Amino acid sequence: MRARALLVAAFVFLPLLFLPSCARESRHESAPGVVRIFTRSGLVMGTTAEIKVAAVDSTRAESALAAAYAELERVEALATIHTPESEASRLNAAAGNGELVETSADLDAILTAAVRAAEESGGAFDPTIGPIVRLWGFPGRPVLPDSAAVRKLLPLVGYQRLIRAAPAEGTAPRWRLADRGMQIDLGGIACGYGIDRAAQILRRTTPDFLINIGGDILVSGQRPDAKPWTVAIQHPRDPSTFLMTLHLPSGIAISTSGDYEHFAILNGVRRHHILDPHTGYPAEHLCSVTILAPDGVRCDAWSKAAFVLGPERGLQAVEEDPDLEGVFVSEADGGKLIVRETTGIARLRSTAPAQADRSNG
Amino acid sequence: MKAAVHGAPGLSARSAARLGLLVSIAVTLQIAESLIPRPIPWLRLGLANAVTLLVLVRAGFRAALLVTAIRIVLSGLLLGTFGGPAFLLSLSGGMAAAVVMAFARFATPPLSLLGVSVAGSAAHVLGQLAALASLLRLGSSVAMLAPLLLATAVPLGLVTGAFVLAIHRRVPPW
Amino acid sequence: MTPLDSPKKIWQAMTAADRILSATILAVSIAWGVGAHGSEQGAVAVVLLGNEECARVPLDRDAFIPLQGRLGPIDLEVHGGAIAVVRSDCPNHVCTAMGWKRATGDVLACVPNGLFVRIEGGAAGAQAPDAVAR
Repeated sequence: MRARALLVAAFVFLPLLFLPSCARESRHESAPGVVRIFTRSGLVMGTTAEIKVAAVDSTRAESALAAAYAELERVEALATIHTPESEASRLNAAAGNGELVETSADLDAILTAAVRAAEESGGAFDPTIGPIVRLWGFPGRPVLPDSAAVRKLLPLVGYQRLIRAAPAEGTAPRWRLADRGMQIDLGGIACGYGIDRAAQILRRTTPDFLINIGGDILVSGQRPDAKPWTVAIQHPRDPSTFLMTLHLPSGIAISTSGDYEHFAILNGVRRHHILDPHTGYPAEHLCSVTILAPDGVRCDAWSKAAFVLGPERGLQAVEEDPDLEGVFVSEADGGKLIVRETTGIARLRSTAPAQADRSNG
Repeated sequence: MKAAVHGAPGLSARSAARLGLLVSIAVTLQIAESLIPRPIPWLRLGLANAVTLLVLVRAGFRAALLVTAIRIVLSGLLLGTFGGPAFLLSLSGGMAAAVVMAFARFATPPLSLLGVSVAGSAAHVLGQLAALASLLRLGSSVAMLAPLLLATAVPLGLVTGAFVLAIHRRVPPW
Repeated sequence: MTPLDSPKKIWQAMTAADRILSATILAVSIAWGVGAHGSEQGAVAVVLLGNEECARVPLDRDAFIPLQGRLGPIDLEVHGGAIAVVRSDCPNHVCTAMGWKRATGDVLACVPNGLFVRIEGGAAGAQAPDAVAR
């Protein structure tokens, strides 16, 4: 039958398709001095990531990218509370039993930065918000909790009771959670820390790169065509357009918190994942806030803090801080968007008009 | 290959000879068209798909697939492009054309051989572009070439279809 | 060789479905090609080597851009608002023959070298960001 002939033919030809010589590597050395962008996308910290590196040498660029991703994964592993062996989980497990838990330099740095952001924002950002986040069911399937349950858990939130024991010479730093039932959740800041660590690694190879972890971004240097890195802010209600586009100077981190990611409509009201540590409920009053800061960890924490503080107190707090800039978007009655920005934003905005409509708030 | 054909029960010597003849015609066509200068090297016009179509309507899909595969490999070996980019393009384009034409024959409303040939010609182009994008790692940039190539695929498909139609009508059934 | 050789005869021999299929493919490809091509002066040439975006070259100033393609050096030049491939080691030199391109949507390509160049318009070119904060 022809079928058998075909089968034999297939066996003959099939191995030929695996000839390795066919597809050539897209790696090629460039002429000296020609700088190109090397991009690697990945999945890390629970989201899609993209890192762009401007370099001349492809092998060095590739190894720098690989090292950056490895570092991000390492930070995720120690800071996540979703695996019981992570450092953060071990700290949570020891809550309230008086035990001082030794932490690595990394976790120490994250917790220190988190406490500092909590102090500066008056508790609008609070790393001890873990019990409430879990009650709401984020990041999985959120459920509307009983208000009594929320009230019961609120006393467990309080960054002042996340305590650091100053280490003696040559010993590791130690931390503890004062009360039983307290839980840290570093989801609001670990990404920023990871970005800072990855940036340190990339800097060894090149001063020009852009790190983008699920919309949390840090830029260094500039693009190969000697223009500044350009970052657009997502329009909080129309995902196909941008709110505005910014040309960023070197060494700036930018991060947006919005009510349009990780949300659910419960009882007819949009409930999103940025919870106010004082009330235990999602912060209202803003659709999105975008913060610019000199490093990823402050940027990440402050994007949550500013969101919780709202368009007035948040704008004021960010304006008063010389290192921070912000863009605050709120929704007026009738769905019209009000955009307020701190004074440093205007000179960063691109001269081409943004595609979205803006009204000056 | 000869052993495969002869060792298959039910395939008469006459059929084997016929298939061999068709393969050699197809190879000749493919080699001839590779001599025509193309704006984009490695890209094939797909003239040899005419043979694929003829075998398809007269001897069925399996035979057509066999003839096409052998044609591509032999041409690659004879031209010295085997394993290289041109080979990959003709493999992916030729196979895509064969499969699409097989399905196109059963389209409703019905397509004549001309329409089937056009469909095959378009599939040939798209198959080659897909190979350029993925196997040859050129990525989505190849999409810029698509409009021109698809537009030329239509008249080409009609012309080759006309030849197949003429031969199909003139030559008595196998 | 056959009576079907003239275009008119071919048209007559086509079924309705044949004609619809052919017309559709033609229309789509022409619309696609025309849609990509504008008549206005482009602002920036996006240069891709394989899948990597390697440069965004503004067309408003003259420049010489030496690149390394898969086959060897390949050079682009920008002059008077247009861009062209001025040197390439490819076998057919189709790319150099493509000449100077300046309109939005125009393309240059040297397939053996893996080079693609696409002209983008002022507004679109300037607004494409490197990343989106969300």
